[in-house]
Amino acid sequence: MSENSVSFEVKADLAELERLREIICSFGRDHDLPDKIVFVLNLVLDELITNSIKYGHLEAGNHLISVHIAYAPEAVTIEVEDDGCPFNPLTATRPDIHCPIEERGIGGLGLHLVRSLMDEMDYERFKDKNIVRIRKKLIESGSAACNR
Amino acid sequence: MELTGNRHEKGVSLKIKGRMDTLTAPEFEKECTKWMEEGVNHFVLDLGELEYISSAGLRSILLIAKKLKPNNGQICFCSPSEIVAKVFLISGFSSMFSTYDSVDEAFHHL
Repeated sequence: MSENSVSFEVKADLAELERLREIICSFGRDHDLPDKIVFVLNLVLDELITNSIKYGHLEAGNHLISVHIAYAPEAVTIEVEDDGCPFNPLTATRPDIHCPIEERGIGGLGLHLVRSLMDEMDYERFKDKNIVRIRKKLIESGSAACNR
Repeated sequence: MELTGNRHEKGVSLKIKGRMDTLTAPEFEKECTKWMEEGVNHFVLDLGELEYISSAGLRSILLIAKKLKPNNGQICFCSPSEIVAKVFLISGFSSMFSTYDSVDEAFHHL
């Protein structure tokens, strides 16, 4: 069911985040997704792509990051693939979110948000590529009554 | 992102409209730094029309809060949407920063 999924590539350039927003918004409209879900999908892709660019050291070359988003009534699944340096987001250090402002580190929040907001997350290094697969369930937010 | 700063007796209220992400967060830091150079130590961020925030936006807020700390200054929030409030909760921001229903209420507590 190709109309239920969208595939695209983004350049390793943070200016691409604007185009990402447009793609996610139109995906949300096509599948009548609640605003909160659109926000979360935009956020996790924003964070994953930003991480790929920063930690994969992709700035230098003409690298592309491939994104595949698939809709099903019960969940949205996303796959992000890049050819940067090996980087497993699942083993990244989690930030200490309970310390006072003075001691609080400023890094690590992006992946912490992704891991907290998604229901499933997998990582695979395959043929010199980083592949991250994530899944967001739609059941809890499926109806307006439950969406408050 | 659109920023509107208003001077109050105890500090500045800053209305943030639109999206606070990697591309726009530096503007927020610049705006706060400008007020801080004028001696402002307290900021109330009015988030009623904030549509989106990523970790880059959170990082900017934290950076400014860290700079305010030595002068006993602080940041607090008002009217975040449900999803923005959830992002604050997950990232530990709700325990570092107070949230109020209105700008007036926030300044009342400052």
